[in-house]
Amino acid sequence: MKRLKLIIPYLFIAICFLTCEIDALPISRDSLNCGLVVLTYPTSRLPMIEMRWVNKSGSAYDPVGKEGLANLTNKMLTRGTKKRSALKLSAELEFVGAVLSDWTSYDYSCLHLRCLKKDFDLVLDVLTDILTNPEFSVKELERVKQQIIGDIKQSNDYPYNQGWKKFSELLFQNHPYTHPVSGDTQSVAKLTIRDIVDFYNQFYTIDNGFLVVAGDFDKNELLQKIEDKFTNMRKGKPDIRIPEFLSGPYRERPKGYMIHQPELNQSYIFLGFPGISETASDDDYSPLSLRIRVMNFILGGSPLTSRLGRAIREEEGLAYDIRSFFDRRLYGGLFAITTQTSDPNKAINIILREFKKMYDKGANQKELNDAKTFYIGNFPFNYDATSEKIDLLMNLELYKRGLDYPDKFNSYIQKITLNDINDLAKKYLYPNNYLLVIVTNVSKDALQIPEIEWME
Amino acid sequence: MKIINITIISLLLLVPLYALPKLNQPFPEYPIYETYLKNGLRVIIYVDSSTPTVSTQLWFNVGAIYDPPYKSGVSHLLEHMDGTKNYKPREISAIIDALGGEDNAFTSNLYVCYWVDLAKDYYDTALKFGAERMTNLAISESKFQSEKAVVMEERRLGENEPYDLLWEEFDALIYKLHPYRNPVIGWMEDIKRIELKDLINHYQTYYQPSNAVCVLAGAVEPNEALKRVEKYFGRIKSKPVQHPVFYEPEQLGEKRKVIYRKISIPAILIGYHTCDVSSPDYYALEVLEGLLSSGKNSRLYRRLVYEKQYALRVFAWNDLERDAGTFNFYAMPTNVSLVDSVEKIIYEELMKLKSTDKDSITDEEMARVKNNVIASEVYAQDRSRGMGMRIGRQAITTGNLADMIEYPKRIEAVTKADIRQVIEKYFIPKNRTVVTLLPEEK
Repeated sequence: MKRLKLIIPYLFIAICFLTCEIDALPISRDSLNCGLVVLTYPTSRLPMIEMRWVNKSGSAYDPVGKEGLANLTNKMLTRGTKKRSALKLSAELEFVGAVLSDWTSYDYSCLHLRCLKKDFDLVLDVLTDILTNPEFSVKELERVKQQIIGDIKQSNDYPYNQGWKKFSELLFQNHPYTHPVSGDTQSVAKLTIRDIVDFYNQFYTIDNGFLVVAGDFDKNELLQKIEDKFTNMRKGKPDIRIPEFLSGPYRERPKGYMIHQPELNQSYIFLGFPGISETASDDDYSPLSLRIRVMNFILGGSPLTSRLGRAIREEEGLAYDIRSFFDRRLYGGLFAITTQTSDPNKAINIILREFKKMYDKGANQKELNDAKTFYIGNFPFNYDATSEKIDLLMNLELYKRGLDYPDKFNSYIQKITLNDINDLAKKYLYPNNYLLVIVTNVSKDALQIPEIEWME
Repeated sequence: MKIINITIISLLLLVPLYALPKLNQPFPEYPIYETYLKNGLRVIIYVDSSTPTVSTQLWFNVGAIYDPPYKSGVSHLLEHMDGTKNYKPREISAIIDALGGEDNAFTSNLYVCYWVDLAKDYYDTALKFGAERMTNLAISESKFQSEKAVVMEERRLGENEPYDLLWEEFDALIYKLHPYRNPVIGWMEDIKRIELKDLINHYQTYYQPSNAVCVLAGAVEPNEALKRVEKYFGRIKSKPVQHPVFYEPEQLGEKRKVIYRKISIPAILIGYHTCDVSSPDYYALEVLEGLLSSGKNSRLYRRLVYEKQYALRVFAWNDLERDAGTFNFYAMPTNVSLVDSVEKIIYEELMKLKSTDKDSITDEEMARVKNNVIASEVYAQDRSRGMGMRIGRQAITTGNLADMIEYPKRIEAVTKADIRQVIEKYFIPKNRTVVTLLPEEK
């Protein structure tokens, strides 16, 4: 009875929360005369601005045999222009405390700048200089390649990275998502200035990217400045299509791949199958990716309180970290459960048990209510700091969610029913058709995993 | 009679207001308010009305250095414990989850911090749970055993990260006596030795209001926030807390160690004993760090990574804590044959900064470092959780928030002569420790 009393006020709060509305966010999307799409989110509390160029050219666009080219090209952009050497470029920014960072994912590449408001003109000038006048010097290329190759070698020393790389490779097979964003040491070593120039010419155009800006600015003034600076950027759209990678079972029965490392004292487990893309649709009333996140939240999305978290960590003390997730990209994705444990047999068997239970019996109403209130209550964290505002806008544009997505978010979540969740579990989980990659100190004979067929 | 009743009720309602301690705003240009409750709990409120959230943080002045001898890891293991007289383990986390919040905790050498971020209307819940944790923690033997197993898995995870070992070996070598030599998570054999009674004893000794700081950062009204803190924490009784005092003796000669792991890229860690975080030298050492390794135009990056390409990465950092501190260098030479050259160049660059000739520090370099500090101060205020963390850390480490607020001013006051003086004072070979990580010989 005492426990019931304790729970009631929280249920009340949770129910109230479901009716809360998100205040309209001051976000907008403008297409400038020069052809550039700009998304903005003005705020005035601090005299700072963040700006991100998003180029729709991630590692999925690497030509075969030139893996790592998208990443290398994006990095080379920051290594000098016809006006500014690499050191001059960084010196100008560093002198005013501005920060330039670059990164590439599977679907896109980013150039991100953060500065004080007073330095915005300089930062905008640097960004457009980078995008329109890159120098691409041979000396800088050798420097950047050495850096990337060193990073790849170091990354391969980590057992988690070894396992994840193999898991992605086996899962995506011949799809462009199969290789790591950075490429491998051999493919990067072979890349030339010619490759970079070709990639840049093909993909870095005003029509193949967009700009996101958040911070302390007057929108009209900002857009005018951007228009002036981007006028000379090349137009055009690359004519390349990435094939869709469809969700589904991994082969006809469980398959395993082992990386044996006797010096470890734990096993690194990766278990999963092809998942959905971020933009996948089943013509329902809300984005499929959102509903599938809610389903996964219950299974293993919350490391401490999900079913997997409770079973593996809280009840058995088998691992520090256990989670499941749908890695959703533009043209496909994967589902994975990952954990690290010194008792792989017990952990894998519990994972399979929970996994099967979710597939067979689905979730219960309380789990769904908690997951829904989590997503609704957590949404404000998507636009808390400036960098989060930038992420929010980038995702709205990249995944074509529309500017009204934040307004609709609560209703998308509220409409999800237990039937939806249980149907999703049946449709997108494959407890008998998974891929298991394990980096481990134990032998295959010591692992007792039902029906698994080991690959060489 | 009715009027009298209303008056009495009104007076009763007002009593808690009058009983509240007064909130001070020590730095008028910053929306920071602070006070102490009667039981000694320090309350610090940072107001940021632009955010839709509030970060509620409970800091305890008890980090790994206060672990009992041969039981390193007690503070960290205690931080893992959940479950109170009124809530089952993880029930609190589940409630926070259901409100859309995020919660976690971390332990360092000096402190433990429990934080909960929630949409602004629900921070009351975080305060309630904070007080519950402070007074009613309840650990069963079975929960203790399973969480100890989790921590042992966490420890193994670190052991399997090949480069992490270098840091642990470095701390164990550079500090001879001070418990900074122990890893926060604890040594594996020590973790195994920890018993439930150790945790209970640690909890009863250190989890006292007078040994804690409650930080609220985000969209709060300060007086209302204080009222809520008082509501949950005001009645908790406090016991005085005595912290043991530690020191590190002077190092009498250079210490070196080489360790081998299955790795591809070698790494080197070099450290010098310097001073306590309250020393006036702190600020000159901060500027020195900026000159050496902040940005691509810093001395070490430019020479080792950009020009020579001898290193994949290099950085210097000023690591000052209470009682003691070190100034460290970390580099990853591009191959084993360059390890010695990288080390030599680090020393050369240090000595150049000490010189007054053509290699000496330029005005432009000084301006770059100082401008970076000014900009970073603005960026740091962008996230209320981050500001809360800075405030909490400062409140525990030196106790004085002025050290944080006046940081840019103190950096601005650093001169080239100050930097030469700290190099002269601390960067001498006998005060140095070097640990190198090399690939296992086949």
